Amino acid sequence: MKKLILFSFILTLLFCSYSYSQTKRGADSIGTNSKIFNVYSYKITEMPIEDALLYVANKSNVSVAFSKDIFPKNKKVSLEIENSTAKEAIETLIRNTNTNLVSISQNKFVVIEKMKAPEETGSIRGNVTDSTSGESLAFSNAYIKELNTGASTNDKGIFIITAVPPGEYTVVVSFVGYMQKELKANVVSGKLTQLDFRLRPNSIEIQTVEKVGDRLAESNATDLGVERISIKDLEKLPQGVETDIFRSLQYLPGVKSTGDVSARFFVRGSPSNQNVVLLNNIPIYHPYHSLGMFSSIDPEMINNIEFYKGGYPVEYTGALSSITKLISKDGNKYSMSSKAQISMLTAKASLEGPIGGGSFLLTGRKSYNTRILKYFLDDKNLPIDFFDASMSLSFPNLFPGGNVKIFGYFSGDKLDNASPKEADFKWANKLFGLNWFQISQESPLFVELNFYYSGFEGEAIQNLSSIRPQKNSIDDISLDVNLRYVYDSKDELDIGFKIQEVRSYLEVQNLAGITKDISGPKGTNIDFFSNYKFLRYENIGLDFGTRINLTRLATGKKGSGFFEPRLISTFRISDNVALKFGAGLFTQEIITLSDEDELINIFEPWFITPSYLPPSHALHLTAGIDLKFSKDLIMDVEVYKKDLSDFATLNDRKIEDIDNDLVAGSGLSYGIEYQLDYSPYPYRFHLGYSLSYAEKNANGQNYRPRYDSRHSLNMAFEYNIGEGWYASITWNYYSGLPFTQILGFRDQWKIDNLFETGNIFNNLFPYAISGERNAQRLPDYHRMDLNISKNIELGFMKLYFDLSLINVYNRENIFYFEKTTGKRVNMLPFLPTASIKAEI
Amino acid sequence: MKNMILSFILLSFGFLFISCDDTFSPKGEFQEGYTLYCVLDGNSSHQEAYLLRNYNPEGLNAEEYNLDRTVTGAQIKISNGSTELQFDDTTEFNESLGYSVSYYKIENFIPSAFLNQTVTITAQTPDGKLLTGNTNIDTKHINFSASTKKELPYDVSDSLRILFLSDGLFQFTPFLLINYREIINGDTSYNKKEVPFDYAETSSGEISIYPDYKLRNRYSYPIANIAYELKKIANAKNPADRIKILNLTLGILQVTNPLDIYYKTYKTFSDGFSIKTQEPNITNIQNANGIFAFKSISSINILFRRDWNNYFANLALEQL
Repeated sequence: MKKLILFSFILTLLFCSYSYSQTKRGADSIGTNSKIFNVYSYKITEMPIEDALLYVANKSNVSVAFSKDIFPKNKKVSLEIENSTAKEAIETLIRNTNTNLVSISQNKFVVIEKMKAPEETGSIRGNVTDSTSGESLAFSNAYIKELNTGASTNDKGIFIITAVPPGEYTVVVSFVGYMQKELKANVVSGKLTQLDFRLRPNSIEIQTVEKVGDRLAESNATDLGVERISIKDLEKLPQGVETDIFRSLQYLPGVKSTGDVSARFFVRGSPSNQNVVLLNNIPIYHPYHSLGMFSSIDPEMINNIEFYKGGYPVEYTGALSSITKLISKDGNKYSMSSKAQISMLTAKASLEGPIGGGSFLLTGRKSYNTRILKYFLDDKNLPIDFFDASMSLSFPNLFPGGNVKIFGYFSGDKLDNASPKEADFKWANKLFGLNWFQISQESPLFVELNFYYSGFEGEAIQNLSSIRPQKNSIDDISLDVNLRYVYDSKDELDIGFKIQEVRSYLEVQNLAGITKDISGPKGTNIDFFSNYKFLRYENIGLDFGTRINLTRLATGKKGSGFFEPRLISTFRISDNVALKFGAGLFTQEIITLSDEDELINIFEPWFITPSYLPPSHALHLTAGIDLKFSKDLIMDVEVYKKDLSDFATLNDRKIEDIDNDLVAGSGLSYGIEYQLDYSPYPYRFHLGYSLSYAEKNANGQNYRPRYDSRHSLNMAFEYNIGEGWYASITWNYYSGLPFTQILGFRDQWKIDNLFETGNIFNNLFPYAISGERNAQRLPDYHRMDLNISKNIELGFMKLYFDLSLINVYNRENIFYFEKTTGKRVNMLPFLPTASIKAEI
Repeated sequence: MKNMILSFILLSFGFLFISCDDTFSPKGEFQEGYTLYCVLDGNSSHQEAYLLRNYNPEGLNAEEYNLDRTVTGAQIKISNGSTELQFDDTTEFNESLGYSVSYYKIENFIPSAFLNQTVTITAQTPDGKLLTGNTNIDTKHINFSASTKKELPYDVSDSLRILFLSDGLFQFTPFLLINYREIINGDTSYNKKEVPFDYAETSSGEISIYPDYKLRNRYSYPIANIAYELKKIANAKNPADRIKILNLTLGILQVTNPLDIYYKTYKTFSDGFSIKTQEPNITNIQNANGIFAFKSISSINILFRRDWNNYFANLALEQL
């Protein structure tokens, strides 16, 4: 029924947008918000034509571009009309000239000479890179000065502007932290003009504190729920023990930290295992080190981050909640360079440089001293050893217009307890991928092919502890091809397909030492997607499409498929106000088996949703408003509702061994998020607040799940002091997470032998009497961190010093209480940390 | 900008102030209550019931709580509607616990007296609470099939098949024990070696790794598995000539609901492949927790035929 409503809604919107696009311009001028349809009275007497055009433009609040050369010298015009649109007035003014009026958008016009046919246009495509390294600059802004229209670069640093009237233009590209650059473009009708922008890093003081996506050139971008973060943003935040990509996400409203001791995060009332992390489009199943304390992805290898809090586009799949897309750097294309960094936990190094017409990047990180981790775990020693390494080979022109990237990533964690009474753990990720991004030389067509393998292995080794031994592995091999075509109208069409084969293995062992594979069998999924971006009007953006899954992984058979329709829209009311709406159906087939009542799931195995359960689905509905009060003050508000069905949940009423481990539950989450950014250089203030509710139903029981966090408030103040000094202060507040109180104990008779049912006293064991599930809340969490950093240039070497003070006022934030003793265990106390990085 | 910094700091401390309420306890208000366990034994005239009260240890360390929580002074009765029997309140010193415990017992009561009837247990606690529970005494009179061999031949391609003469399927778990006698230093001990249940082939298909209760009316044990267990006795005991193999005990154990579920839940939790952290609570006692159920065992003895001696020469098959 929900799917039906969603389909109906999308169809209605499509019909409405189609009807709108078919309406004759001006036919219904009164009562619309569009400036072109507003009518005015104009009275002009013997005014130079150039001034007359500007007068009309100003009065009707539209922009008109023209070259003075196209009008006869000293030509004067008069005009007296009533109830006319700007377009009609301009057309009247230029009636007796050798010019035509071209509508670029609803409120933008160009007056050109008549011999240039208005329907004949060209396109500009640009590639934006860092001039020192050749690294792509994703999400930078490009615009045509004369037309005041533009686009932003994609995650590969490429932009395209279509429907440009022939002529010579100035194209300007800007990106935070870099010098703005202008290039001349001679646009020829029916041709694609290629520009290559190499931006020079701003050597004075960089305003990296802004989010790079905040100044998108496209006013109708369908970017609801998307956050784009540059690595430079990350480095300005208090680092804690390690700079961590996932912890930086936790400053965003709607994203809730699971605590100091874990980098896992909840997004909009969903558990952490409903977030998918893509590294170069490859899913990484266990992107954590040290029992989940830190992200296993070294920020040094990352170029940019796109984070979708929900309602993500149709080109992505496999997550009920959020997608974190990480794109790695290509490596320095011009010269060899290296970096080394040491923190209180790890040492890391990277090497990059040109190779055979392309570039390479090698990164590596290794823990060397885990003494500091005892602060995370109540002074308990954590003998963990971990590493991660990556390699990337990038060839930007292996074929004409073809960029090929080969990528590999490995990480491993090992927890070897000295005492045989404690369990040991091992985890490892292996990723290997090939990305081929092809640009058509003749048309605005992009083709991207990804072929990858992602493997995860984990093992819990029992030793003499009570931990159940488990072994888990997942092997995911996929091939996907995506095509994007950009029409002259600016509309875009995306189509693609994906073939994915996943093999999962989850071996558990009982007390008798007997092992059993309880995972689903290997499965194959074949799916297609098609998406249309309706961007032809500057104040309307509509992005709609669907994914069609022909099979599901658990069966791999035809007839078990499903649809995932999506819709994202933007309606810009004015230059400063945009309304946004999104809806979509999302599916997750690869899940984890974990006990959600446990605060830390040390071992969280991944496997395919078994065939006895349908795949988990989520219906997202999101609406938002973006407000831009000034160049420096931006605010946005979003509301969301997320309806989860067939939510794979641990069966807490498993009686027999042959009973299923999982049951299909349902969930609902909803909330409101507010974000404000005030960035008068050299300061920046960020405030994010969210109010959210989550509930869950499984086995007929309705309850608040552990990730039901009510209030969340994050504030950050950053100050670029100058001369390489940088300071920031952050304060985070979360209302306490739910927990279940213990109301006492009773004796439970453990019947080990039904032949002997007398004298039970030696077989009585305590059984905790629980209160209403998750009806109570832990105390609120709050923490203030300070950070100061200094960059120094010493000839050929750059040095970066960083000092952070974590939990400045030593707040005792509760981590958990021990169920056996009632002892309270707190999270991080006041903790100063430091790191130093050298770059050659 | 100074104002902004000031506002930031004030706001932070404002929130800090309002969120300073750190009162929190992992323990809620103590829930008073009782647990009653009583499994009537169909093979005995001695029956016992156990009444325990909830307890509230210091902190949450229940493992270290070593005070007596058995209840004395309660009135516990069973009744079939017409006949009522009262358990005797008994207190004894328990050596392993190190203190006296209370329980309730009835002597000279064989549950088959209430055959095919519903029996109710009531427990009136000293503070006036009334706990109740019901169970059925519906043990079937088991007749093992005449096809069951009285003497088991050594034929490893065959099985020891058991078929019941009763009508339809009924719920039970089978067991098979090898009875043997061991003489050490002149002392004789009588022992049993179980042929594991997972060797059994039953009419209900898949079985658990531990005894489970299923609706069935037949089952069989491959003779090869019995031989395998016999070999294990021979290999484990040194010298093996001190061992005298006696016979096999073939039997079934019947229990009534919800004892079977209670048992399965515990075994699944402790021996199965579950990853749960807390087992579900199973009870059929009103106003309390616990179990009131009935169990009975039916069995026959089967001898090994002479040809087993050819393969287990080092063991003395006493019945030969």
